Amino acid sequence: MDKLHADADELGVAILAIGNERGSHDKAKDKLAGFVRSQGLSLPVLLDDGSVARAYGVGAVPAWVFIDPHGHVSQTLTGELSYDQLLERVEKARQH
Amino acid sequence: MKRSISSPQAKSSQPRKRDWVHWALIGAVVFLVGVNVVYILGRDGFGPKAGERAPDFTLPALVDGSESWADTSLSQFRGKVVVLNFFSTS
Repeated sequence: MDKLHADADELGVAILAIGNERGSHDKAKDKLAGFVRSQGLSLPVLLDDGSVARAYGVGAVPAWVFIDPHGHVSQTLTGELSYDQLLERVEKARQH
Repeated sequence: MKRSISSPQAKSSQPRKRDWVHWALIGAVVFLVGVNVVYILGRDGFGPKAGERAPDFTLPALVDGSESWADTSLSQFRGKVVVLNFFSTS
């Protein structure tokens, strides 16, 4: 997903990683920041206390939500996706 | 005479009590089913369907490997395809 982020501007795509961390807010922030550092991630990594995951009906991770340029959900799915599978779904969302 | 007055009373009070128990049981079942539906709906699998508006949100974010947190909203990216990737570090 970091590769998609690297190509994101060119593709007109924004990719947001949303981490769901339990525990206190500060501890969760530290944990997520450590993860971003250790993975060398450059894409935006957002900290969710579970409320956004609930709003999108996400029960298991990894989960993906593709949103079209008008702000409507194009597709929601759970499980690992290859880069090509990601691109395919991004294109589908763009055509909405 | 005394008998004939008391016996209809006894007959009518028993079915009324049974009715009450009957409705109480139905009420309890409806309540339990309702609680379960609310719990399941709130848990997962019932987010926006394809074609529905994506709920907006604002969350603290680390951008470009930065060490400082900045609020990021979904609405900032209107006009682009947005991919949300829900993950967990643990």
